[in-house]
Amino acid sequence: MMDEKQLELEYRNMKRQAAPDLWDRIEKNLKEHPERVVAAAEPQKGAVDKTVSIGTYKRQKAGRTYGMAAAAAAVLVLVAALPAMRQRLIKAPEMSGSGMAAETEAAPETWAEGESLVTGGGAAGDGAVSGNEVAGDSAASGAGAAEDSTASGPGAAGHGPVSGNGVAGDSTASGPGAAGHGPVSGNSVAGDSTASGTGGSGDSARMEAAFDGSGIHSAAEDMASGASIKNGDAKRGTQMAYRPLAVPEQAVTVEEDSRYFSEDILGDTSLLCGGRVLSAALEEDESGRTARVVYEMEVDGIYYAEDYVSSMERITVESPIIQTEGDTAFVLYQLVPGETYLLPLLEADDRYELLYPFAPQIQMTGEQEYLFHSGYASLVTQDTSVAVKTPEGTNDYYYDRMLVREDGNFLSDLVSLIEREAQGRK
Amino acid sequence: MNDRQFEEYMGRICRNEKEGLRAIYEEYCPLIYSVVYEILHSREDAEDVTSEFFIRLWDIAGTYRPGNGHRAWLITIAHNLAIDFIRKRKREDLSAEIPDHLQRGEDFPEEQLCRKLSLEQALKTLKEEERQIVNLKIMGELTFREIASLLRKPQGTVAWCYRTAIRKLREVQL
Repeated sequence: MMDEKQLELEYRNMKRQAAPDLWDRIEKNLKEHPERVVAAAEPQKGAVDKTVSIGTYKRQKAGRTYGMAAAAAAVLVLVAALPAMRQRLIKAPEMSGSGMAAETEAAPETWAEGESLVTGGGAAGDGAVSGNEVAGDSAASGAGAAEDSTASGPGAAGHGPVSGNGVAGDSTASGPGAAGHGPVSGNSVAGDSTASGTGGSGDSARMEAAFDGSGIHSAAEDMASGASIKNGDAKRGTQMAYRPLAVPEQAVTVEEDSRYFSEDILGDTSLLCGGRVLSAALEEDESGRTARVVYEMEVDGIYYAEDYVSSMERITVESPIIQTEGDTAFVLYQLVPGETYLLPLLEADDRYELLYPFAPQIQMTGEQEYLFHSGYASLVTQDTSVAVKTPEGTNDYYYDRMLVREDGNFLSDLVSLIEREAQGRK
Repeated sequence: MNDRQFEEYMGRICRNEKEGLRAIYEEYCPLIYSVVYEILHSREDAEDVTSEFFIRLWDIAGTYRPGNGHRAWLITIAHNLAIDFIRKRKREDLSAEIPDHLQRGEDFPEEQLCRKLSLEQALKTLKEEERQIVNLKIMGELTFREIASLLRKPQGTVAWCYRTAIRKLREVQL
Protein backbone atom coordinates (compact mmCIF):
# COMPACT_ATOMS: atom_id res chain seq x y z
CA MET A 1 0.00 0.00 0.00
CA MET A 2 1.25 3.42 -0.90
CA ASP A 3 2.55 5.62 1.85
CA GLU A 4 0.30 8.59 2.56
CA LYS A 5 3.08 11.11 2.08
CA GLN A 6 3.99 9.54 -1.19
CA LEU A 7 0.38 9.64 -2.22
CA GLU A 8 0.19 13.34 -1.46
CA LEU A 9 3.35 13.95 -3.44
CA GLU A 10 2.04 12.02 -6.39
CA TYR A 11 -1.22 13.84 -6.17
CA ARG A 12 0.40 17.25 -6.20
CA ASN A 13 2.61 16.32 -9.11
CA MET A 14 -0.34 15.06 -11.04
CA LYS A 15 -2.33 18.23 -10.43
CA ARG A 16 0.59 20.45 -11.31
CA GLN A 17 1.04 18.64 -14.58
CA ALA A 18 -2.66 18.87 -15.31
CA ALA A 19 -2.76 22.63 -14.92
CA PRO A 20 -2.77 24.41 -18.24
CA ASP A 21 -0.65 27.41 -19.07
CA LEU A 22 -3.06 30.29 -19.07
CA TRP A 23 -0.72 33.17 -18.51
CA ASP A 24 -0.87 34.65 -22.00
CA ARG A 25 -4.61 34.56 -21.91
CA ILE A 26 -4.72 36.15 -18.48
CA GLU A 27 -2.18 38.82 -19.27
CA LYS A 28 -4.05 39.80 -22.41
CA ASN A 29 -7.19 40.43 -20.43
CA LEU A 30 -5.77 42.39 -17.56
CA LYS A 31 -7.37 45.76 -17.28
CA GLU A 32 -5.18 48.74 -16.93
CA HIS A 33 -5.20 50.57 -13.67
CA PRO A 34 -3.35 53.76 -14.48
CA GLU A 35 -4.47 55.30 -11.26
CA ARG A 36 -2.28 52.87 -9.38
CA VAL A 37 0.79 54.18 -11.11
CA VAL A 38 -0.29 57.75 -10.58
CA ALA A 39 -0.83 57.12 -6.93
CA ALA A 40 2.51 55.41 -6.52
CA ALA A 41 4.47 57.98 -8.44
CA GLU A 42 2.68 61.06 -7.29
CA PRO A 43 1.21 60.48 -3.92
CA GLN A 44 0.19 64.08 -3.68
CA LYS A 45 -2.25 63.61 -6.45
CA GLY A 46 -5.21 61.39 -6.70
CA ALA A 47 -7.37 60.06 -9.39
CA VAL A 48 -10.59 58.23 -9.44
CA ASP A 49 -10.32 54.52 -9.85
CA LYS A 50 -12.57 52.64 -12.15
CA THR A 51 -13.27 50.60 -9.10
CA VAL A 52 -15.96 52.46 -7.33
CA SER A 53 -15.86 52.09 -3.64
CA ILE A 54 -19.14 52.25 -1.95
CA GLY A 55 -18.80 52.13 1.75
CA THR A 56 -17.86 48.74 2.93
CA TYR A 57 -17.93 47.13 -0.43
CA LYS A 58 -16.03 47.73 -3.56
CA ARG A 59 -17.52 47.58 -6.93
CA GLN A 60 -15.80 46.76 -10.14
CA LYS A 61 -17.49 47.94 -13.20
CA ALA A 62 -15.59 47.32 -16.34
CA GLY A 63 -15.25 50.05 -18.79
CA ARG A 64 -16.64 52.76 -16.63
CA THR A 65 -14.71 55.89 -17.11
CA TYR A 66 -15.01 59.23 -15.62
CA GLY A 67 -14.40 62.45 -17.27
CA MET A 68 -11.61 64.83 -16.74
CA ALA A 69 -13.78 67.01 -14.60
CA ALA A 70 -14.40 64.18 -12.20
CA ALA A 71 -10.75 63.31 -12.06
CA ALA A 72 -9.84 66.89 -11.42
CA ALA A 73 -12.41 67.11 -8.69
CA ALA A 74 -11.06 63.98 -7.12
CA VAL A 75 -7.57 65.36 -7.24
CA LEU A 76 -8.68 68.44 -5.40
CA VAL A 77 -10.45 66.39 -2.85
CA LEU A 78 -7.67 64.00 -2.19
CA VAL A 79 -4.64 66.20 -2.35
CA ALA A 80 -4.45 66.83 1.31
CA ALA A 81 -5.17 63.42 2.58
CA LEU A 82 -3.36 60.99 0.38
CA PRO A 83 0.17 61.14 1.73
CA ALA A 84 -0.96 60.75 5.27
CA MET A 85 -3.26 57.90 4.52
CA ARG A 86 -0.87 55.75 2.72
CA GLN A 87 0.45 52.84 4.67
CA ARG A 88 -1.56 53.77 7.62
CA LEU A 89 -3.97 51.61 9.43
CA ILE A 90 -6.96 53.32 10.68
CA LYS A 91 -8.05 52.35 14.06
CA ALA A 92 -11.64 51.58 14.26
CA PRO A 93 -13.55 53.29 16.88
CA GLU A 94 -13.50 51.22 19.93
CA MET A 95 -16.57 50.70 21.86
CA SER A 96 -16.74 49.50 25.29
CA GLY A 97 -19.59 48.22 27.23
CA SER A 98 -20.03 45.71 29.92
CA GLY A 99 -20.42 42.19 28.80
CA MET A 100 -20.35 42.80 25.15
CA ALA A 101 -17.96 42.88 22.34
CA ALA A 102 -15.91 45.61 23.61
CA GLU A 103 -13.49 46.34 20.97
CA THR A 104 -13.39 46.39 17.31
CA GLU A 105 -10.22 45.46 15.68
CA ALA A 106 -8.24 48.00 13.88
CA ALA A 107 -10.21 48.39 10.78
CA PRO A 108 -8.26 47.02 7.93
CA GLU A 109 -8.28 49.46 5.20
CA THR A 110 -8.81 48.84 1.64
CA TRP A 111 -6.49 50.97 -0.30
CA ALA A 112 -8.08 51.81 -3.52
CA GLU A 113 -5.27 53.41 -5.31
CA GLY A 114 -5.68 56.97 -6.13
CA GLU A 115 -9.03 57.25 -4.64
CA SER A 116 -10.44 57.65 -1.28
CA LEU A 117 -9.56 55.18 1.28
CA VAL A 118 -12.16 52.75 2.24
CA THR A 119 -11.89 50.96 5.44
CA GLY A 120 -13.71 47.85 6.06
CA GLY A 121 -14.96 46.46 9.22
CA GLY A 122 -13.17 44.40 11.71
CA ALA A 123 -11.59 41.28 10.53
CA ALA A 124 -13.66 38.31 9.80
CA GLY A 125 -15.29 37.36 12.94
CA ASP A 126 -15.47 40.78 14.40
CA GLY A 127 -18.07 42.00 12.14
CA ALA A 128 -17.83 45.55 13.19
CA VAL A 129 -17.48 47.92 10.40
CA SER A 130 -16.30 51.21 11.47
CA GLY A 131 -13.60 53.65 11.60
CA ASN A 132 -13.78 54.88 8.15
CA GLU A 133 -11.42 57.24 6.64
CA VAL A 134 -12.93 60.13 4.90
CA ALA A 135 -9.89 60.65 2.88
CA GLY A 136 -9.78 64.30 2.76
CA ASP A 137 -13.36 64.28 1.96
CA SER A 138 -14.74 67.69 1.89
CA ALA A 139 -18.28 66.82 1.34
CA ALA A 140 -19.83 64.14 3.34
CA SER A 141 -19.48 62.86 6.77
CA GLY A 142 -21.38 62.18 9.85
CA ALA A 143 -23.94 60.31 8.01
CA GLY A 144 -23.81 57.18 9.91
CA ALA A 145 -25.74 57.68 13.03
CA ALA A 146 -29.26 56.59 12.97
CA GLU A 147 -31.13 59.73 12.48
CA ASP A 148 -33.14 59.46 15.56
CA SER A 149 -30.24 58.70 17.73
CA THR A 150 -28.41 60.91 20.04
CA ALA A 151 -24.93 61.55 19.00
CA SER A 152 -22.21 63.41 20.61
CA GLY A 153 -18.72 64.17 19.74
CA PRO A 154 -16.74 66.63 17.87
CA GLY A 155 -16.34 66.65 14.21
CA ALA A 156 -18.80 65.26 11.91
CA ALA A 157 -20.72 62.74 13.84
CA GLY A 158 -24.23 63.23 14.62
CA HIS A 159 -27.59 63.47 13.18
CA GLY A 160 -27.63 62.39 9.68
CA PRO A 161 -25.35 63.50 6.97
CA VAL A 162 -23.38 66.57 7.41
CA SER A 163 -21.71 67.98 4.47
CA GLY A 164 -19.02 70.46 4.03
CA ASN A 165 -16.85 69.29 6.82
CA GLY A 166 -13.21 69.29 6.20
CA VAL A 167 -12.70 66.13 8.02
CA ALA A 168 -9.72 63.85 7.96
CA GLY A 169 -8.65 64.77 11.39
CA ASP A 170 -7.94 62.75 14.42
CA SER A 171 -10.87 63.35 16.57
CA THR A 172 -12.43 61.61 19.41
CA ALA A 173 -16.01 61.20 20.18
CA SER A 174 -17.66 59.61 23.02
CA GLY A 175 -21.12 59.11 24.15
CA PRO A 176 -23.01 57.07 26.59
CA GLY A 177 -24.25 53.74 25.62
CA ALA A 178 -22.13 52.99 22.66
CA ALA A 179 -23.58 49.81 21.40
CA GLY A 180 -25.00 49.31 24.77
CA HIS A 181 -28.29 50.98 25.00
CA GLY A 182 -29.97 54.07 24.04
CA PRO A 183 -28.09 56.77 22.34
CA VAL A 184 -25.60 56.24 19.73
CA SER A 185 -22.15 57.47 20.04
CA GLY A 186 -21.15 59.79 17.39
CA ASN A 187 -17.86 58.68 16.17
CA SER A 188 -15.51 61.00 14.61
CA VAL A 189 -15.13 60.78 10.98
CA ALA A 190 -11.62 60.40 9.97
CA GLY A 191 -8.28 59.48 11.19
CA ASP A 192 -7.65 57.62 14.33
CA SER A 193 -10.85 58.10 16.04
CA THR A 194 -12.03 56.53 19.15
CA ALA A 195 -15.47 56.37 20.50
CA SER A 196 -16.25 55.04 23.84
CA GLY A 197 -19.46 54.25 25.47
CA THR A 198 -20.57 53.22 28.82
CA GLY A 199 -23.57 51.19 28.05
CA GLY A 200 -23.67 47.52 28.67
CA SER A 201 -25.47 44.80 26.96
CA GLY A 202 -28.51 43.17 28.22
CA ASP A 203 -29.46 45.96 30.52
CA SER A 204 -32.02 47.31 28.26
CA ALA A 205 -34.88 45.74 26.49
CA ARG A 206 -34.05 47.60 23.37
CA MET A 207 -30.52 48.20 22.46
CA GLU A 208 -30.12 50.74 19.80
CA ALA A 209 -27.53 50.32 17.20
CA ALA A 210 -24.32 52.07 17.60
CA PHE A 211 -23.54 53.48 14.28
CA ASP A 212 -20.63 55.49 13.34
CA GLY A 213 -21.05 58.96 12.34
CA SER A 214 -18.50 58.21 9.79
CA GLY A 215 -18.97 59.47 6.39
CA ILE A 216 -17.22 57.63 3.75
CA HIS A 217 -15.00 59.05 1.10
CA SER A 218 -18.09 60.22 -0.67
CA ALA A 219 -16.80 63.29 -2.31
CA ALA A 220 -14.57 61.78 -4.89
CA GLU A 221 -16.85 58.91 -5.43
CA ASP A 222 -19.99 60.87 -5.77
CA MET A 223 -18.51 63.57 -7.84
CA ALA A 224 -17.12 60.94 -10.05
CA SER A 225 -20.29 59.01 -10.39
CA GLY A 226 -22.46 62.01 -10.61
CA ALA A 227 -24.43 60.97 -7.60
CA SER A 228 -25.60 63.68 -5.42
CA ILE A 229 -25.95 63.79 -1.72
CA LYS A 230 -28.38 66.06 -0.14
CA ASN A 231 -27.91 67.45 3.24
CA GLY A 232 -29.97 65.70 5.78
CA ASP A 233 -31.09 63.09 3.38
CA ALA A 234 -30.18 59.47 3.27
CA LYS A 235 -26.96 58.87 1.53
CA ARG A 236 -28.00 57.06 -1.52
CA GLY A 237 -25.12 55.89 -3.56
CA THR A 238 -22.95 55.29 -0.60
CA GLN A 239 -23.10 52.90 2.21
CA MET A 240 -22.41 54.23 5.58
CA ALA A 241 -20.02 52.61 7.89
CA TYR A 242 -21.86 51.11 10.74
CA ARG A 243 -21.30 49.08 13.73
CA PRO A 244 -23.74 46.22 13.81
CA LEU A 245 -25.76 45.48 16.86
CA ALA A 246 -23.81 43.58 19.43
CA VAL A 247 -25.45 40.34 20.42
CA PRO A 248 -25.58 39.61 24.13
CA GLU A 249 -24.21 36.32 25.30
CA GLN A 250 -27.56 34.88 26.28
CA ALA A 251 -29.38 35.96 23.18
CA VAL A 252 -31.50 33.55 21.20
CA THR A 253 -29.72 33.28 17.88
CA VAL A 254 -30.15 31.30 14.72
CA GLU A 255 -27.33 29.70 12.81
CA GLU A 256 -26.44 31.45 9.60
CA ASP A 257 -26.48 28.20 7.67
CA SER A 258 -29.81 27.00 9.02
CA ARG A 259 -31.28 27.61 5.62
CA TYR A 260 -29.92 28.00 2.16
CA PHE A 261 -31.05 30.70 -0.15
CA SER A 262 -33.22 29.73 -3.03
CA GLU A 263 -35.21 31.94 -5.32
CA ASP A 264 -38.28 29.81 -4.96
CA ILE A 265 -38.58 31.01 -1.38
CA LEU A 266 -39.70 34.28 -2.91
CA GLY A 267 -42.98 32.54 -3.62
CA ASP A 268 -43.77 32.98 0.07
CA THR A 269 -43.45 36.75 -0.11
CA SER A 270 -46.34 38.54 1.54
CA LEU A 271 -45.08 42.01 0.83
CA LEU A 272 -42.32 43.60 -1.15
CA CYS A 273 -41.61 47.05 0.05
CA GLY A 274 -38.88 49.55 -0.45
CA GLY A 275 -37.79 52.16 1.96
CA ARG A 276 -35.24 53.58 4.24
CA VAL A 277 -34.32 51.98 7.51
CA LEU A 278 -34.77 54.41 10.35
CA SER A 279 -33.51 52.35 13.22
CA ALA A 280 -32.39 48.92 14.26
CA ALA A 281 -32.73 47.49 17.71
CA LEU A 282 -32.64 44.23 19.56
CA GLU A 283 -35.74 43.10 21.36
CA GLU A 284 -36.37 40.60 24.06
CA ASP A 285 -38.85 37.80 24.06
CA GLU A 286 -41.29 36.98 26.82
CA SER A 287 -38.60 35.26 28.81
CA GLY A 288 -36.44 38.33 28.83
CA ARG A 289 -33.84 37.01 26.45
CA THR A 290 -32.80 39.06 23.50
CA ALA A 291 -34.40 37.25 20.63
CA ARG A 292 -34.87 39.37 17.54
CA VAL A 293 -33.86 42.40 15.61
CA VAL A 294 -36.50 45.01 15.00
CA TYR A 295 -36.19 47.55 12.23
CA GLU A 296 -38.28 50.65 11.80
CA MET A 297 -38.56 51.56 8.19
CA GLU A 298 -39.90 54.50 6.26
CA VAL A 299 -41.82 53.07 3.34
CA ASP A 300 -41.12 54.49 -0.11
CA GLY A 301 -43.32 52.07 -1.93
CA ILE A 302 -45.05 48.74 -1.87
CA TYR A 303 -44.37 46.86 -5.03
CA TYR A 304 -45.98 43.54 -4.39
CA ALA A 305 -48.55 42.36 -1.91
CA GLU A 306 -50.04 38.95 -1.58
CA ASP A 307 -53.20 40.42 -0.14
CA TYR A 308 -54.64 43.88 0.01
CA VAL A 309 -52.69 46.23 2.20
CA SER A 310 -53.51 49.79 2.99
CA SER A 311 -50.89 52.35 2.28
CA MET A 312 -48.41 52.85 5.02
CA GLU A 313 -45.73 55.33 5.79
CA ARG A 314 -43.81 53.23 8.23
CA ILE A 315 -43.39 49.58 8.82
CA THR A 316 -41.82 47.51 11.54
CA VAL A 317 -39.84 44.56 10.32
CA GLU A 318 -38.51 41.78 12.48
CA SER A 319 -35.78 39.29 12.01
CA PRO A 320 -34.28 36.48 14.02
CA ILE A 321 -30.76 37.15 15.19
CA ILE A 322 -28.17 35.74 12.86
CA GLN A 323 -24.88 36.04 14.59
CA THR A 324 -21.42 36.59 13.24
CA GLU A 325 -18.85 34.01 14.11
CA GLY A 326 -15.69 35.20 15.68
CA ASP A 327 -14.36 36.72 18.81
CA THR A 328 -17.15 39.21 18.99
CA ALA A 329 -20.80 38.70 18.42
CA PHE A 330 -22.68 40.99 16.13
CA VAL A 331 -25.79 40.72 14.06
CA LEU A 332 -24.88 39.36 10.68
CA TYR A 333 -26.37 40.90 7.54
CA GLN A 334 -27.94 43.64 9.56
CA LEU A 335 -29.87 46.36 7.80
CA VAL A 336 -28.13 49.66 8.18
CA PRO A 337 -30.13 52.64 9.40
CA GLY A 338 -30.10 55.36 6.83
CA GLU A 339 -29.80 52.92 3.97
CA THR A 340 -32.55 52.01 1.56
CA TYR A 341 -33.60 48.46 0.83
CA LEU A 342 -36.04 46.41 -1.14
CA LEU A 343 -37.37 43.88 1.31
CA PRO A 344 -39.39 40.78 0.54
CA LEU A 345 -41.33 40.25 3.75
CA LEU A 346 -43.34 37.53 5.30
CA GLU A 347 -46.43 38.35 7.28
CA ALA A 348 -47.19 36.35 10.35
CA ASP A 349 -49.66 37.35 13.05
CA ASP A 350 -49.81 40.89 11.73
CA ARG A 351 -46.07 41.21 12.03
CA TYR A 352 -43.69 41.48 9.17
CA GLU A 353 -40.49 39.48 9.11
CA LEU A 354 -37.66 39.40 6.67
CA LEU A 355 -38.42 36.60 4.25
CA TYR A 356 -34.82 35.63 4.16
CA PRO A 357 -32.84 36.86 7.15
CA PHE A 358 -29.97 34.49 6.46
CA ALA A 359 -28.57 36.58 3.65
CA PRO A 360 -27.95 40.21 2.79
CA GLN A 361 -31.05 42.07 1.71
CA ILE A 362 -31.34 43.88 -1.60
CA GLN A 363 -30.01 47.35 -1.08
CA MET A 364 -30.64 50.39 -3.21
CA THR A 365 -27.30 52.05 -3.45
CA GLY A 366 -28.28 54.69 -5.90
CA GLU A 367 -30.92 55.80 -8.28
CA GLN A 368 -31.93 52.53 -9.92
CA GLU A 369 -28.80 50.88 -8.59
CA TYR A 370 -29.21 47.73 -6.61
CA LEU A 371 -26.77 45.71 -4.57
CA PHE A 372 -27.80 42.09 -4.21
CA HIS A 373 -26.25 38.70 -3.84
CA SER A 374 -25.70 36.14 -6.53
CA GLY A 375 -28.35 33.82 -5.13
CA TYR A 376 -30.83 35.92 -7.10
CA ALA A 377 -29.59 34.28 -10.27
CA SER A 378 -32.63 35.35 -12.26
CA LEU A 379 -31.81 38.98 -11.63
CA VAL A 380 -28.34 38.77 -13.07
CA THR A 381 -28.03 40.45 -16.44
CA GLN A 382 -25.22 41.28 -18.79
CA ASP A 383 -24.80 44.64 -17.14
CA THR A 384 -24.48 43.28 -13.65
CA SER A 385 -21.13 44.00 -12.11
CA VAL A 386 -19.35 42.46 -9.19
CA ALA A 387 -19.06 44.06 -5.81
CA VAL A 388 -16.61 42.89 -3.22
CA LYS A 389 -17.86 43.52 0.23
CA THR A 390 -15.85 43.46 3.38
CA PRO A 391 -16.75 40.25 5.23
CA GLU A 392 -18.92 40.87 8.25
CA GLY A 393 -17.60 37.80 9.98
CA THR A 394 -16.10 34.42 9.34
CA ASN A 395 -19.52 33.10 8.50
CA ASP A 396 -20.34 35.84 6.03
CA TYR A 397 -21.07 33.59 3.12
CA TYR A 398 -21.98 36.34 0.73
CA TYR A 399 -19.23 38.89 0.98
CA ASP A 400 -17.70 37.95 -2.34
CA ARG A 401 -20.99 37.09 -3.98
CA MET A 402 -22.39 40.55 -4.12
CA LEU A 403 -23.50 42.09 -7.37
CA VAL A 404 -24.55 45.50 -8.52
CA ARG A 405 -27.09 46.13 -11.20
CA GLU A 406 -27.97 49.56 -12.39
CA ASP A 407 -31.00 49.74 -14.56
CA GLY A 408 -34.62 50.63 -14.38
CA ASN A 409 -35.85 47.11 -14.89
CA PHE A 410 -34.48 45.60 -11.73
CA LEU A 411 -37.55 46.26 -9.67
CA SER A 412 -39.96 44.94 -12.28
CA ASP A 413 -37.74 41.90 -12.75
CA LEU A 414 -37.84 41.24 -9.03
CA VAL A 415 -41.60 41.62 -8.89
CA SER A 416 -41.97 39.29 -11.87
CA LEU A 417 -39.75 36.76 -10.16
CA ILE A 418 -41.83 36.90 -7.01
CA GLU A 419 -45.03 36.55 -8.98
CA ARG A 420 -43.62 33.66 -10.92
CA GLU A 421 -42.51 31.85 -7.81
CA ALA A 422 -45.81 32.58 -6.11
CA GLN A 423 -47.64 31.27 -9.12
CA GLY A 424 -45.58 28.12 -8.93
CA ARG A 425 -46.88 27.53 -5.43
CA LYS A 426 -50.47 27.51 -6.54
CA MET B 1 4.57 30.88 -0.62
CA ASN B 2 3.97 32.21 2.84
CA ASP B 3 1.61 35.00 3.83
CA ARG B 4 4.31 37.59 3.85
CA GLN B 5 5.50 36.77 0.36
CA PHE B 6 1.94 36.74 -0.83
CA GLU B 7 1.29 40.16 0.65
CA GLU B 8 4.41 41.42 -1.04
CA TYR B 9 3.21 40.18 -4.40
CA MET B 10 -0.21 41.63 -3.82
CA GLY B 11 1.45 44.90 -3.03
CA ARG B 12 3.24 44.71 -6.35
CA ILE B 13 -0.06 44.16 -8.08
CA CYS B 14 -1.32 47.28 -6.38
CA ARG B 15 1.60 49.07 -7.95
CA ASN B 16 0.52 47.78 -11.34
CA GLU B 17 3.42 45.34 -11.54
CA LYS B 18 2.35 42.29 -13.45
CA GLU B 19 5.28 40.39 -12.02
CA GLY B 20 3.38 40.26 -8.76
CA LEU B 21 0.45 38.55 -10.40
CA ARG B 22 2.77 36.34 -12.40
CA ALA B 23 4.46 35.10 -9.25
CA ILE B 24 1.13 34.28 -7.65
CA TYR B 25 -0.02 32.66 -10.86
CA GLU B 26 3.08 30.49 -11.06
CA GLU B 27 2.58 29.33 -7.53
CA TYR B 28 -1.15 28.89 -7.45
CA CYS B 29 -2.41 28.20 -10.94
CA PRO B 30 -2.36 24.42 -10.36
CA LEU B 31 -4.18 24.86 -7.08
CA ILE B 32 -6.84 27.17 -8.43
CA TYR B 33 -7.29 25.09 -11.55
CA SER B 34 -7.69 21.92 -9.54
CA VAL B 35 -10.17 23.51 -7.15
CA VAL B 36 -12.23 24.81 -10.01
CA TYR B 37 -11.92 21.65 -12.03
CA GLU B 38 -13.16 19.51 -9.17
CA ILE B 39 -16.33 21.57 -9.23
CA LEU B 40 -16.84 22.05 -12.94
CA HIS B 41 -15.52 18.78 -14.32
CA SER B 42 -14.79 20.45 -17.59
CA ARG B 43 -11.36 21.42 -18.78
CA GLU B 44 -12.53 24.35 -20.88
CA ASP B 45 -14.76 25.72 -18.17
CA ALA B 46 -12.06 25.27 -15.58
CA GLU B 47 -9.63 27.15 -17.79
CA ASP B 48 -12.15 29.95 -18.25
CA VAL B 49 -12.81 30.27 -14.57
CA THR B 50 -9.14 29.98 -13.64
CA SER B 51 -8.30 32.75 -16.08
CA GLU B 52 -11.16 34.80 -14.73
CA PHE B 53 -9.87 34.20 -11.24
CA PHE B 54 -6.47 35.71 -11.93
CA ILE B 55 -7.94 38.57 -13.89
CA ARG B 56 -10.23 39.24 -10.98
CA LEU B 57 -7.34 38.98 -8.57
CA TRP B 58 -5.55 41.68 -10.51
CA ASP B 59 -8.54 43.96 -10.14
CA ILE B 60 -9.36 43.33 -6.52
CA ALA B 61 -5.87 43.05 -5.11
CA GLY B 62 -6.56 46.11 -3.01
CA THR B 63 -9.30 44.36 -1.14
CA TYR B 64 -7.07 41.66 0.23
CA ARG B 65 -6.81 41.81 3.98
CA PRO B 66 -3.69 40.26 5.38
CA GLY B 67 -3.70 38.01 8.33
CA ASN B 68 -6.46 35.58 7.58
CA GLY B 69 -4.58 33.04 5.53
CA HIS B 70 -4.16 33.82 1.89
CA ARG B 71 -4.63 30.26 0.64
CA ALA B 72 -8.09 29.99 2.14
CA TRP B 73 -8.92 33.40 0.72
CA LEU B 74 -7.83 32.40 -2.76
CA ILE B 75 -9.60 29.07 -2.62
CA THR B 76 -12.80 30.63 -1.36
CA ILE B 77 -12.87 33.05 -4.25
CA ALA B 78 -12.07 30.30 -6.75
CA HIS B 79 -14.70 28.03 -5.24
CA ASN B 80 -17.34 30.74 -5.40
CA LEU B 81 -16.42 31.68 -8.94
CA ALA B 82 -16.89 28.08 -9.99
CA ILE B 83 -20.22 27.80 -8.21
CA ASP B 84 -21.37 31.04 -9.75
CA PHE B 85 -20.26 29.80 -13.13
CA ILE B 86 -22.46 26.77 -12.72
CA ARG B 87 -25.38 28.85 -11.65
CA LYS B 88 -24.94 31.18 -14.53
CA ARG B 89 -24.74 28.50 -17.11
CA LYS B 90 -27.31 26.38 -15.36
CA ARG B 91 -25.34 23.40 -16.29
CA GLU B 92 -26.57 20.18 -14.93
CA ASP B 93 -24.33 17.56 -16.33
CA LEU B 94 -20.75 18.36 -15.71
CA SER B 95 -19.39 14.93 -15.35
CA ALA B 96 -19.23 13.67 -18.91
CA GLU B 97 -16.06 15.29 -20.06
CA ILE B 98 -12.82 13.48 -19.71
CA PRO B 99 -9.94 15.80 -18.99
CA ASP B 100 -7.59 15.88 -21.89
CA HIS B 101 -4.60 15.84 -19.62
CA LEU B 102 -5.23 12.14 -19.49
CA GLN B 103 -3.84 12.04 -22.97
CA ARG B 104 -0.85 14.11 -22.11
CA GLY B 105 2.39 12.87 -20.75
CA GLU B 106 3.80 10.95 -23.68
CA ASP B 107 7.20 12.21 -22.74
CA PHE B 108 7.03 10.78 -19.28
CA PRO B 109 8.75 7.58 -18.39
CA GLU B 110 6.38 4.69 -18.79
CA GLU B 111 6.37 3.82 -15.17
CA GLN B 112 5.53 7.33 -14.16
CA LEU B 113 2.73 7.50 -16.68
CA CYS B 114 1.24 4.26 -15.42
CA ARG B 115 1.37 5.53 -11.89
CA LYS B 116 -0.22 8.81 -12.87
CA LEU B 117 -3.03 7.13 -14.68
CA SER B 118 -3.54 4.77 -11.83
CA LEU B 119 -3.88 7.59 -9.39
CA GLU B 120 -6.28 9.36 -11.69
CA GLN B 121 -8.28 6.22 -12.08
CA ALA B 122 -8.27 5.72 -8.37
CA LEU B 123 -9.52 9.25 -7.91
CA LYS B 124 -12.41 8.47 -10.17
CA THR B 125 -13.58 5.87 -7.72
CA LEU B 126 -14.05 8.55 -5.12
CA LYS B 127 -17.26 10.40 -4.62
CA GLU B 128 -17.28 13.95 -5.87
CA GLU B 129 -17.34 15.28 -2.35
CA GLU B 130 -14.39 13.12 -1.39
CA ARG B 131 -12.41 14.30 -4.38
CA GLN B 132 -13.05 17.90 -3.48
CA ILE B 133 -11.97 17.36 0.09
CA VAL B 134 -8.84 15.49 -0.93
CA ASN B 135 -7.96 18.27 -3.33
CA LEU B 136 -8.56 21.03 -0.82
CA LYS B 137 -6.54 19.17 1.76
CA ILE B 138 -3.59 18.14 -0.35
CA MET B 139 -3.40 20.84 -2.97
CA GLY B 140 -4.98 23.62 -0.95
CA GLU B 141 -3.28 22.62 2.27
CA LEU B 142 -6.35 23.78 4.09
CA THR B 143 -7.23 22.61 7.56
CA PHE B 144 -10.30 20.48 8.09
CA ARG B 145 -11.88 23.46 9.74
CA GLU B 146 -11.25 25.64 6.71
CA ILE B 147 -12.55 22.98 4.38
CA ALA B 148 -15.63 22.51 6.54
CA SER B 149 -16.25 26.21 6.42
CA LEU B 150 -15.79 26.40 2.68
CA LEU B 151 -17.99 23.43 1.89
CA ARG B 152 -20.39 24.22 4.67
CA LYS B 153 -20.16 20.79 6.18
CA PRO B 154 -19.42 19.66 9.70
CA GLN B 155 -15.74 19.41 10.44
CA GLY B 156 -16.06 15.82 11.59
CA THR B 157 -17.71 14.85 8.34
CA VAL B 158 -14.94 16.46 6.37
CA ALA B 159 -12.22 14.71 8.34
CA TRP B 160 -14.01 11.40 8.04
CA CYS B 161 -14.50 11.84 4.29
CA TYR B 162 -10.85 12.65 3.83
CA ARG B 163 -9.69 9.63 5.77
CA THR B 164 -12.05 7.40 3.85
CA ALA B 165 -10.85 8.80 0.55
CA ILE B 166 -7.20 8.43 1.44
CA ARG B 167 -7.76 4.88 2.53
CA LYS B 168 -9.45 4.10 -0.79
CA LEU B 169 -6.61 5.68 -2.72
CA ARG B 170 -3.94 3.89 -0.76
CA GLU B 171 -5.65 0.60 -1.26
CA VAL B 172 -5.05 0.98 -4.97
CA GLN B 173 -1.72 -0.64 -5.60
CA LEU B 174 0.33 2.10 -7.09
